[in-house]
Order: sequence, then C-alpha cells, then structure tokens
Amino acid sequence: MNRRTFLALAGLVATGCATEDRTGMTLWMWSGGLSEKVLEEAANRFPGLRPLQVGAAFKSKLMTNLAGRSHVPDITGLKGEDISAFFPNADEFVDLKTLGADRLREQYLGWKWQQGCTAEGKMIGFPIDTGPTGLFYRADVFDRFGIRGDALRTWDDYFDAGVELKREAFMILNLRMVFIMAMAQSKRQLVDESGRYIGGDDHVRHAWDLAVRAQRLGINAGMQDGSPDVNAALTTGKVPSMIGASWAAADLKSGAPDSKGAWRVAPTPGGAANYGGSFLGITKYCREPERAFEVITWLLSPDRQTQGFVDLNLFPSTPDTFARPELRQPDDFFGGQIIVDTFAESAKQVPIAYLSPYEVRLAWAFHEELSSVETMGKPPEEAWRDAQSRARRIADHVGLT
Amino acid sequence: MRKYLPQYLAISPFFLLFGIFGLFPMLFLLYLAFQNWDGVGAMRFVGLDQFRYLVSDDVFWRSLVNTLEIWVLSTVPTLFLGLVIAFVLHSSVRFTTFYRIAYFVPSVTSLVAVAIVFGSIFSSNFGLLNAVLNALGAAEVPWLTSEWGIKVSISALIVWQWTGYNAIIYLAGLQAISSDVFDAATVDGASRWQTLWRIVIPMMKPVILFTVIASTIGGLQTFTEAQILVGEEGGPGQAGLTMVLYLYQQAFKHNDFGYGAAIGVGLFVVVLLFSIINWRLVQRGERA
Amino acid sequence: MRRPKVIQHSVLGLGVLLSLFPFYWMVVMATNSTEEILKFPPAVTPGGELLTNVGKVFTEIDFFGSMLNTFLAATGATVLVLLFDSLAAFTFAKFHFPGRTFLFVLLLATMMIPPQLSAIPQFVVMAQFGWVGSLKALVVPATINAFGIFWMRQYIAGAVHDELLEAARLDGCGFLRQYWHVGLPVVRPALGFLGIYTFISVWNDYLWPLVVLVDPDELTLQVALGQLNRTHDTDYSMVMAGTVLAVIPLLIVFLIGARNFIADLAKGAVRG
Repeated sequence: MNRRTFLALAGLVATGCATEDRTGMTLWMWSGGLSEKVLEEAANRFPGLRPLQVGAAFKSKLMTNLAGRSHVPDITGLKGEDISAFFPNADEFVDLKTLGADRLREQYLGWKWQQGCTAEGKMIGFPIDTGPTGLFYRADVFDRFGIRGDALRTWDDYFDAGVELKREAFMILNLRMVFIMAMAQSKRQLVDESGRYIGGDDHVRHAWDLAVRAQRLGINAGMQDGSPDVNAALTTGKVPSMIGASWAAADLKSGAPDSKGAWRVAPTPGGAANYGGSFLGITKYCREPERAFEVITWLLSPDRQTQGFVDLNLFPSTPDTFARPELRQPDDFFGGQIIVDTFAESAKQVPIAYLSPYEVRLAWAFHEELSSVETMGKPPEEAWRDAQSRARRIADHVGLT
Repeated sequence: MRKYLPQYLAISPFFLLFGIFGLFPMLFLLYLAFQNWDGVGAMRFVGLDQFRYLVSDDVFWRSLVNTLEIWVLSTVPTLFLGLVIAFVLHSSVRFTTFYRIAYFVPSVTSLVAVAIVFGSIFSSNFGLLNAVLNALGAAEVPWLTSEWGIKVSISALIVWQWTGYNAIIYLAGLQAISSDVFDAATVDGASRWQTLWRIVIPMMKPVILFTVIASTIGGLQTFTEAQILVGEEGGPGQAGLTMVLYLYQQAFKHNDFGYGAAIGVGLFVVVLLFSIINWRLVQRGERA
Repeated sequence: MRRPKVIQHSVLGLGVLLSLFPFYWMVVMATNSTEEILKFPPAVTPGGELLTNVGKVFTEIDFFGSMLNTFLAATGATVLVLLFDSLAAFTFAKFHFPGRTFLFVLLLATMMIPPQLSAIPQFVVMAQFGWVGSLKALVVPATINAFGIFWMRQYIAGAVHDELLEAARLDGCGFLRQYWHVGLPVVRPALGFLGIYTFISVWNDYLWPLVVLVDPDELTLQVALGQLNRTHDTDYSMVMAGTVLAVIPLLIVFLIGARNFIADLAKGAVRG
C-alpha cells in the first residue's frame, strides 16, 4: 500500500463517509435491554425494521462501527452510564426535539428526560428504563435484632443497625456500593456545568467518609460484586441487606433462590437515587428519522414499558404505569410485598444531576482507592489523597479545569 | 532479481493480503497515537501529548508490571509441563488418542465459560479450592481479592488452557525427529536423559523457539482471562489490570482512542523487546 | 520396563483429571437448572435438565444456521491458510532472497498489535470493499495467519533437510516441485496442526465477527451464543449447554486433523 492510499483510508476514518447502500432500518440493543416480544411485535408492525441483539461487548461493536463510520445502526441503545460521553458528539445523533419529542415529555420522569439531553438542550436519548434504588433486606435476620427495615431513613440509622447485628452478619456488601449510592443521592457529581472538576468538594468527601465509616465500624463484608461469595452470603444471611436498583431484584432471585420469602424492600437510607437505566438514540446516518422516531416512541410508550417490566423487570420511565396491576403484583420472593410501590416512590424523587462526559472515568479513581482500603488495608486518608491526585490527572488529561 | 522470482511469487498472495489486513492496521495504530480522538468526532493532532501522559501514568506502569508478572507465572509452567507431557505421550503407546483429546479440550473451550467455572473454583469464601485447603487443614487464600491471589488465579487459568495445546505442538515437533536418532543414541549407550538433553532438545529448538515467541506475544496480550475473572477495572488494587485490559478500558469504555493507541504502541515496544530477548536466548544455545 | 509405564500413566492421568475438571463442571452446569448452580451450596453432579437447556438454546438462537455459517467460514479460512501459508513458510524457511529477514520481522510485528484496536482499521477496509456482513470478511483476513507462517517456518526449518532439497534441485526439480514433492510430505504433522489451529481460532473468535457481521440472520456461533448473555439475570445453564454443544464439532475436527500425528505415532511405536 502506498502512502497516498494509506492517507486516503486514514482520512476516511477521520472525516467519515457512509457510502454503503442500506435498506431497511437497523436497531441495535444489548441482550436483555428491551423485551424480545416487544421487539418482535415492532418488526411486524414496522416492515423493514431489523432489530439485532448484541450480547457482551455491545459497546465495542457500537464504537467500532461509529469509528469506522460504516454500518452504523439507525437506532441504537445507549446505556445510562455511557450517554453523557456522547454529548460532545451530539451532532452524530438526531436531536429528538426536532422530531417533536417535547409533546411526549409529560409522560416521562423529568430527571430521566433531562439525562438524555445535552447542556445545550439537544436531546439524543429517549428514555427506556430506570433504576430507582431501594434497601433490600432480610426480614428474618432484622427481626431477630428488632430492627425495622423501613425505619432506616438515614445512613446513620443504617450504620447503627449494622453495628447491632455485627456479631452475626455484615450489613454492607462493599464500600463501592456505599460510595456509588451516596453519590447517586447527590445533585452534584464530579464535574460541574462549566467543565470544572469538583471531585474534591464536600459532597464527594461526604460520600467517601460514609464508605470509610462503614469500614471502620467493621460492618463491611468487602465482597466483590457478582462473585459467588455474594450469592452465598445473601443466601445464608451473612450479608442481610444491600442497597440496589430495582433490577437487582432479579439478580437476587436468581442468585439467592433459597432465601425466598425472607426479603423485603424499603426506601433507600439517605434518600432516593437512581442507578442504571438506558436510552434509545437515532444516529445521523438514519435516512428516515421521522419513521425511526415513530418506532422509538412506539417501543417506549407506557404500554410497551409495562410489557418490558413483565418480561425483563425493566423499571418504566413512565410514571403513569406505576399504578398498573401488571406492575403492582405481590411478590412471593419478598414475602408478598408489592415492591414496585417502594421503587415508584423512589423514582419520583430522584435528584436531577448534571452528568459530564467523564463521570465514569473519574469515579474509577475513587472506586479503585476504596477497594484498596477494603482489601489491602490502605489508610483511608492516604487513599483519599491518591484518589484526588489520580482524578486530577485524568481531569487534566481530558481538558477539565 | 529474476532468480528470486519464484520465491517472491510464492509469498506474494500472502503479502498482498498482509498489506491490507496486517500492515494498514499497524500503521493506523501509530497514526492514532498522535491524535486525540473519542472515536466519534473529528481527530485532533496532539503531537507527543499521549506519550507524555503515558510515561507519567502510574496505572500504565502498573499494568506493565502486572502483565509481565502474569506472563512469567503462566508461561514458564505452561511450556515446561507441555514439554513433559509431550515426552511422556511420545513414549507411551496405550490410550494416546484419549490423552490427546483430554489435553486438547481446554484449548477449544470457550474462555467465557471457563472463566465462570474458574470464578467458582477461586471464590474466596465459598470456592472449591479454599474448601479443599480447609479440609487439608491449610489456611484459606483470598484468591480473587489479594494481589498475588489474583495473579496466580489468572495465570492458573492460562496454564490450564494452554499446556495441552503446547504439548500437542511439541509432539508434532517430536514426530519430525526420525526414530533412527533415538535408535542410534541407544546403540551408543546414551541414557534416556542424555538423549533427551543432548539430542532431542537441540533438534526441537525451532519448535521450542516458536512456542516461546508465540507465548511471549500471546501472553503479553492477556486480556479476556483477566477481564472475566476480575472485571474491566482489573480487580482490587488493579492487580489484574493487564496492558490490553487497560488499553481496552481507555479506548472502548472511556472513548479515548488516542490514548488507547498510545498504550498499544507501548505494548508493541514491550512485546518486541521481550521477543528479541527470548529469540536471542533460545538461539544462543544453537550456536554454542 | 513395566514400572516406568505405570509412572507415565499416572502422571498423564493426573494431568487428564486437571484438564477435564473444568469441562466436567461445565457439563454439571449445562445439565442442571440455573437456580441449582447459583444457589449455595451449588449442584456438583450432572442433573437431568440438559434437554430443557438445549431446547431453550434452540428456541433463543438459530443454532444450526449460525453453526453452518461458522463452519463455512472456518473451513474456507483453513483451506486458504494451508495453501498460502505453507508455501510462504516454506519459502521463508529454505530460501534466501533479498528482503527475507525484513519481511519476516514485519510479519511477526503484526502479531504484536492487540486485535481489539486493529478491529477499527480492519473494519474500515471491509466497509470500503463492501464486505461488511459477509463471510468473506471473516475468511480473507484470517488467511494472513502470522502465527501459522511462523509455526510452519520453524517446523520446516527443523524437519526438511537441505540435502534433500539439494538433491531434488540436482534432479532438475523447480521451486514448486521441491515444495510439493520434498517439503509437503515431511510437514504433514505440522499442516495437521496448522489446520486445526486455524479452524479453531475462526470457530471461537468473538470480537471480529461481532463487529463485522450486521445481519441478525447471518451470525457465527459464538456471536449467537453471546446473545444469550443478558445484562442481568443470565440463564447460565442455557449458556453452558450452548457452549458445550459448540465444542463438540471442534473435537471432531481435532480427531480428523490429529490423524496425522496418530499415524506417525503408530510408526514410532515400533521402537517403544
């Protein structure tokens, strides 16, 4: 290959060209992100719509195709943790407001709607599901200690209860969970609207201190998320609680089936929060944006969201559906409790926070140092300083002030 | 030049495709390492910025050290055990087909499935290995939550998967040595050990060189094993963060393709360096 | 002579146990329900759920359709690799020509690029060729198997003796006939391994086919199996059942390819 050909090819990558002859309309989603039944129905209803389910490595495929600027899907799923990273390139997506999204705004949760919009007001992601959080706890263990799960309203209450059952069990799964949830309860994250790094501010320090306190009180099990240890600990009651999003109920059911009936859900100590949830976006390569918008709004209408909850436990972003009988089913795993009610309350109170494109990348520095505190006994103050210097370095690298 | 025409023709189909699918990606990587690119928007030339950040990035250096440690922990046992198994298989007659398949199974099994299994073996509180250690009266080891535990677990997975594979390669190498060599040595009264050391190993040198270089290149690119065992962040203390895992994280998770490419170039240099060292080491014996 | 054999077989037997244990566990997982394997303590012996799990795999994905795709791609790549790579390797191993070392080093250098990154430029090339979504995109790049060339070169360097080639040359054999009559017969075991290796790597590759195949009806087996991994609430028993099924064809291919070694071993057995 000579130099000119190379530069031409490299140039194609850099400047972009979507030359392929495309027919129909493609929709990419990770497995389990949208109900298969609903997708199938959509494919029948909108001829030419071809949904593709991608398993692991969804992001790799999407990024490679976007980077190669070829065969980019017309409609794509965007994870909640990724969406803000696409904001600097909002022009790669169709602004859904230009397609009349605003007239549907009332049907969706305000904070969720906001998360799909850039600071300049462009809307690139349409709400799929949400992840309102709650406190999952073992009523059998709590009862023995005379602890009432729904009375644990603050982190202090929660930790105090943890100290009470310390002899027998660990209240906290790991420090990361405390930090993530405490941050999710905050209106401010790691970067503010003007592109300034605020990871050293009080709200972050507060979340950090909570995590460190759990360690100091000796109520932390220090287990890795998703490991067999976690499942065993939740089954045996060695860890009788966890703070998690609505979707964690499904993980709990499959991971700790033998503890069926013992679990309950209460409001999150310290206030409502959201963890997870996703969006659908239309890329600029889509040749029929109006039709794609029709597809999206059909897929994510309250009726389909209800179906999504029934099939996959996807918690709706449409508050009107919270009261539907399909959602308000007593759940045997939770002793017949209607857990949706608790999450619905939480969903309505989630604070609106500004999410910069770099939240996940910066938060990593804090998670990393907390895990050193937890597993290697690193002194918390030293860990905090290291977390700050790491986060600062990343902030400088990505051009934050 | 005409004299060499057949040779050039013989390699030309290969190199034609090579230019397109091998060389271009390589040059592209180099080009990318001088850009700032989030994979979606426009590229911006930033000169040596990415490399400046790279050399001052302690996470990069840690990932380099992790990678080398895991590589040594996995490659040495893999190649040694592979060689032993090959010799034993070569001299043993019965059930060889069974043995061969049994040893080959690990290398064809999907890594994702294997990692789930290894996750339950190494799990700290309820894992199989700790249960065995417990039964033997030994202390439990926090396999997936301590620095060396993580490295040993990842290495164990690699050893498990590739030992049989390398044994098969060595076996193929042993086939190439005619049985006359063995017979002649026996007539000379050489012991088994001497035959092995003086005659068989030197004759196997090209094949050994292949396995050493291949495991250098493959081992320094360890990715999936670590990703599935300890997650994309590399586990507690980043003990399982390998270079390719770090590269992948930066490029595909954080959309920083320019920096990902710079890590890729760093990786390239390291792999090249160790390949040259290993090549020299293995070849030296040949001249002596 | 009996005692050493006992030692040998016990060493080999121990290795077999270690080798097969994780596979055994996969079978345990594939034959139990997901609840059984995730709960504590988990099931440790095979259960009776295999047919249920396999049935689920067949309804969730087009197992045989994607298997056919994978088989075509893997076979195509294997044939091309055996053809091109052994010839190129023979040339590298036994002939001196200007640029030999340079080209060989260049070849090895491409092995040092992590495939995660080279996927992007490769994808661009594929898009330019209009091959995205077709099996060509899997077969043709797999042909430049640097590992394969390197392996063959090393094997040929040790196994094909220069005197034989010299003799053939004196007999008036040209380059191609030397390759065909002298080179190929000696390197059969190496070709067997190269074929198996190529077939398996194409069969098990995940990232590249995931990226380059776009039509939901034309996926490879690993990509289709990957669809079973949900973000939450994955049915591990079903995933394991699919994985075990996907390994079986590879074992058959291995048996066929390994005939080369086995035939040779039988010859060698005389000296035992």
